[in-house]
Amino acid sequence: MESIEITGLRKEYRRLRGDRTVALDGLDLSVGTGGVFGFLGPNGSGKTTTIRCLLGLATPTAGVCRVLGQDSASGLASVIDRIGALVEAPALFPTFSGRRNLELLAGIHRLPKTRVDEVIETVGLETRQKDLVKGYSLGMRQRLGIAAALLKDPQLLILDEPANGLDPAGIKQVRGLLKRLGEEGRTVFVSSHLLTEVQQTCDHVAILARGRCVATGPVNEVLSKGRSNVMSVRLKDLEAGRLVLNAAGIASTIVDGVIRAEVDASDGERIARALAAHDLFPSELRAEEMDLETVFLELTDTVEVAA
Amino acid sequence: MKDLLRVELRRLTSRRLFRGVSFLVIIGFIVAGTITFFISNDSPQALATAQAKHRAEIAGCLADAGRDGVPSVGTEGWCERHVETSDPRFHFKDMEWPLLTLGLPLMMLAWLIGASYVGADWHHRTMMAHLTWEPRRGRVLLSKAIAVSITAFFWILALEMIFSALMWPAAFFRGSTAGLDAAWWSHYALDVARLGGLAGFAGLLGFSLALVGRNTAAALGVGFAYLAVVEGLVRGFKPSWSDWLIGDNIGQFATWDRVLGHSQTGSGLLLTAYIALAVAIAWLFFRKREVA
Repeated sequence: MESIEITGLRKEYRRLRGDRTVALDGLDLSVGTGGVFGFLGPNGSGKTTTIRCLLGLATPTAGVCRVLGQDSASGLASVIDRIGALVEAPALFPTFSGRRNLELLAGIHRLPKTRVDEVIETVGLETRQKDLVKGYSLGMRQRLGIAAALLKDPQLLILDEPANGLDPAGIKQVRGLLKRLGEEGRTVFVSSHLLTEVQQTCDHVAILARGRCVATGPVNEVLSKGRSNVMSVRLKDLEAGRLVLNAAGIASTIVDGVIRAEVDASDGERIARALAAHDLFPSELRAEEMDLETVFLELTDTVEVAA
Repeated sequence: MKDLLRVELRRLTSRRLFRGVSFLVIIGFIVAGTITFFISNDSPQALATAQAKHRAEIAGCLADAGRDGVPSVGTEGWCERHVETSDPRFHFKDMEWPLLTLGLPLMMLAWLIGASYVGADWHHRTMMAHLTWEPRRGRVLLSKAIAVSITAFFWILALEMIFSALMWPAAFFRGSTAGLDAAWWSHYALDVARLGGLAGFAGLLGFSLALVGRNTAAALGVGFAYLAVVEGLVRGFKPSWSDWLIGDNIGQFATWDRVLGHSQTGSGLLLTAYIALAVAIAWLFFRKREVA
């Protein structure tokens, strides 16, 4: 059973003037069980709207959302005790202490106070748990929001930008926490604009642009979609190497102390042979790969242009 | 549902506004009780002075027979009725009027508590967080509505009882507790209970308006505009419609004096119907609207 299944999800918002804004335009997405799933997209791409539809906070114009096998519109109540969520900024009562906020939530499902202690410890708020939330920094509120999402010891964790406002140490801690939860067999569905975080934390990723999913799959596979047909060659005599490669029909240029040869990664052998035939032996020959950020920008830009 | 209700009750009674208002009201009661304690005087001299003053005023009234509106026939009886008895003692049996007078501001506070309770939920987006724990909106609304009405009812009940208790020393030590028979106490208890019920009504009305408007100020503004403007205009231009106005029915139900075309029980039922309608409208808005 998939943890999340979204089919043809469309969400339109009507404005007072009568025109419509399409937030989601036939989104299809499938999230398996276990691991950390990254949900990437630029601002306004529909990430939060998707999460709100999943959690029954918004009604889709069309399409179906299923969470843990249940339709979000009708069967969410039967699985809600297995879902933890943090949507946008943490929603907390500022004049209650952090602990009080968690205790009130825990009371809804009769969770024991020891569970509150556990999550407070997990997010490192032990020393500030009795302080009023209005005195918390943005990062502390975020930690408390994550603690609230963890309270139910959920099988599926839906986190919307969990690293918002966290300092580098906090980001590292959250990254470790998400990885650990994913390794424990839980499904962590995390939307983020911090691409490096997703690259370091997630097993799978989906990239959203203009309400549509433009790429999805294991992070490495998505990265390979952005793999350029460029190989970089490092050798002593760069100019000689460039001339050899150009003569062999491989367009090459020298950039930042390496030769950039425009050839598919699977054709690396051609480069090696051509150079070796002229007694030139590369010290390094590797396919240039884009990082997720570049892939993300490329994919989302394509959609922007197409749209 | 029970757990949900328990959480709502805990949250509502933990709110700073609720506790702060309760504290200030009780401080007000203490001041009122203290002032009454020192104003009330049951010493023989004070009683003698008051009686002498009363006799002098009666004599003055009799002397004015046929003048200044004092009738020349049956003057003695008329003066006895119209010259106020200046008793320096505080009589506990007169507590009904202060209690009813206090009812209106307390109902307004119940309105504020109910409206701000759900208004804060929207303002801090905790309604959304709540729905990620209990997505059945009917249950969420019901638990909140019950929490508001129960809290408002018992809150006003408790405050009225505290008020009575704080006024008791003035009557017991320096005033009079005469006339407090079983009939009086049962009448008094019914007054307190009716005011509690009206507080529950006010709290729920504030709650319903804030749920629709998603804002405390909107609920208070609509309430004020309705009571001060709409009802005022109706009374002025369509007096025959007064029987259906919330304010008039609250007045009749609270005082239990029949002043409208229908009975006091009828007023209670009408107010119940109004609040049921308000909650139903709030439900229609809350049921499908997006929560962000």
